[in-house]
Amino acid sequence: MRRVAAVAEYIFKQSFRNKILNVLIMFAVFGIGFALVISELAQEVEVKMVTDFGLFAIGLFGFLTLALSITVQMFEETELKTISMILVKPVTRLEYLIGKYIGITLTILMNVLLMLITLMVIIQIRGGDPWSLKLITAAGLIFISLGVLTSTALLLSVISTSVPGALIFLFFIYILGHLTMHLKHLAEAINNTAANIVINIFYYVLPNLELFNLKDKIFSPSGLFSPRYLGFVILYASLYSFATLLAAAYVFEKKEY
Amino acid sequence: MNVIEVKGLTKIYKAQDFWKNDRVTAVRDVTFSVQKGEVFGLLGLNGAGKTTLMKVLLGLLKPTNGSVLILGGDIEDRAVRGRIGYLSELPYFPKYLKAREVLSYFADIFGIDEKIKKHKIEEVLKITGLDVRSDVRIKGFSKGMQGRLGLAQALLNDPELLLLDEPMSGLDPLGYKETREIILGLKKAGKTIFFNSHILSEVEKICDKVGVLHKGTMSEIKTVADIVKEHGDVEKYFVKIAGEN
Amino acid sequence: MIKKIILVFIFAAALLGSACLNEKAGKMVFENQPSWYFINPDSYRKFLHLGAAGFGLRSLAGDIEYINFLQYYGDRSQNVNRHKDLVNYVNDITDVDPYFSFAYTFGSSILAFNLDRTGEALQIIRKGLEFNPKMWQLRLYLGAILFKQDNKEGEYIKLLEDALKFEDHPAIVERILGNIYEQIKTPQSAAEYWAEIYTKTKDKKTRQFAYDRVEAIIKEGKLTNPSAVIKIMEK
Repeated sequence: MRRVAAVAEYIFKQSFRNKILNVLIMFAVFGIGFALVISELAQEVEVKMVTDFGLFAIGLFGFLTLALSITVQMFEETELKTISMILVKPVTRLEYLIGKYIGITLTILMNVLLMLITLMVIIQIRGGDPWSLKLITAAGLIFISLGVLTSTALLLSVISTSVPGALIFLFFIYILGHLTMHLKHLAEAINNTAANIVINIFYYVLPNLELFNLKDKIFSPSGLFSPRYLGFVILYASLYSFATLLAAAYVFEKKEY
Repeated sequence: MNVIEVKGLTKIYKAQDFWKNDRVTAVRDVTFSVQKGEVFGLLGLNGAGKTTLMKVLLGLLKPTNGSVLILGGDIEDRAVRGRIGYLSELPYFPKYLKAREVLSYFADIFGIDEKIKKHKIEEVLKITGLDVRSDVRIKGFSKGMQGRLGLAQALLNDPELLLLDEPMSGLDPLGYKETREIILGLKKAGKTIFFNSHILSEVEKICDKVGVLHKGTMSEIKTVADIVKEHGDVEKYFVKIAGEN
Repeated sequence: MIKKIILVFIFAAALLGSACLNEKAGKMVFENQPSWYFINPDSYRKFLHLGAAGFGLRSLAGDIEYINFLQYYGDRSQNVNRHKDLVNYVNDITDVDPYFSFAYTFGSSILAFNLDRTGEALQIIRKGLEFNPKMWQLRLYLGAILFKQDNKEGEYIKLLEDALKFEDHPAIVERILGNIYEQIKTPQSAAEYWAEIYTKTKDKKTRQFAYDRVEAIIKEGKLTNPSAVIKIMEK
């Protein structure tokens, strides 16, 4: 346990020192700049626009944080060969992997939290309700979807041998993960068995990121903010992350460095 | 007692490209042992299989054939790994950390007791002569100092066996001398040391026994004293073996 | 070997479990959201809308379309043809984000009361009610527009006054009412109304507009009690 904590702490610290958190400064500049432009353009729907844009930016910059973390980790491990120095120590590969997972998710959690607080401050200043439960739930689900992507990214990082390869796959999964739900909806309309099978495989094997997307339902009258739905989605995230981490641990165990 | 015992070790690499089926035999049927308290030097040309052999000993690579015993056990065993120290070639440490922070991280990974951790860190800093620079960020470290920090982390757990991969590479003559003195000090403290190097003059000064790995096969293991008696110095012996075929 | 089988079993169980939950939660999304929520080549005229649907950014895309709409409405060169495409701009917003209720009230108010095109205004407000049947404020606007169509001035003024009482009314309603008051009421009460708007409106431009109107009416010199107007403004 202490070893897991040590790895997690190291990775968390590393993100500070590697200036991954500069992403946050970008967010703040973006967010405040956008809010200022909007307040000139459309004062009457300013709060809606700032909320929409803020949640979009939290998702985007959260994903960038993840991509940057994974790149830094993989680069140090494989190109600078730091992993050999760690793996010969009395730490199991599973402990190391879990430590990494916790470290990266903590980094993302902190980023998302700080961005959410910035957004809430902007909303407060602009006369909206920053403590809206829907806003906080939507941001929470963005974090959970990033957690799911983290476990997927770790699996990619142990499977692939090159940093660019893993990154390309990560972006691919990010995009497809958002689209599978629409593809399934389309597939139900067309009568092509082969296409249907392929789409269903993608739908169930890739993470369904659209489930976590409540940011465009905040202002809709019927939303998906029921405890039942949120329960399903959180359980889905945990099981999916568990499965991908298990696969990652298995591949990592066999991998030679 | 044999600290390292290798029998009939063969390591075959599969090609990275999955549509090719190339195989490369990096180490072929190697058998040797290293006894407690010995300093063993592994020599070889670039690509002779030295690093592969070292990685198999460390469990980073799995042997295709043969067996490896480290400290009488399996390297996969956590307890065995807790008793060895390893320094990789040109070790990298995050530039923004201080020596003490790096060592603290590695001490946690070793599972060193929180109570003695601080004391241990001070001890290895002193052995490697880094105690005066321990609060400088690694960014300001020379290659030699980074190498010494690499050695320091390998010593944290007071290992019985040290495996050093090219500990002299990238150093200047003064660095050679410093590293040599540290290694000799460790030898005096009764540690078993296995290392590979290109720098034959240093090998001659430090090692008790030498083995030459050439194209994946190991030469006869000889003591440095015997080599000097038979061939004059280690370099001549090395050239003779590596120059054959 | 046994360990491996157990691992494969646990992995398969977790993946299967996640697939079941995916199915269940997905079903709730399918049931909860109308079909236009999903990518559908027939229902998206614009690539922006298609992309926004794919990435769940419909609400944000609606905001972008709203800015386009504002720019079109603010473009004076379009005054000549009386902003003939305005209804299309409103439709662009509400196609991608049918829950953007403000677009319905704002768009229809402009069309009905500023541009005198009640037909188009009704089209917009009816679309709004189709997607937001529970938003009863929309019915208020529907009523006002219908009375406007029949030229029942007293009736629609009453409804616009009602609309003004709710927080989320567009500032344009304030201006529409003010313009009507200037025509039908005494300069004194029109000026008092503008002074009231000056202190209450959330929209900077409307505040300036209200200020300008008060100033203009005062200059005309028809006020019976100028100090009452100034008193309201000083609040």
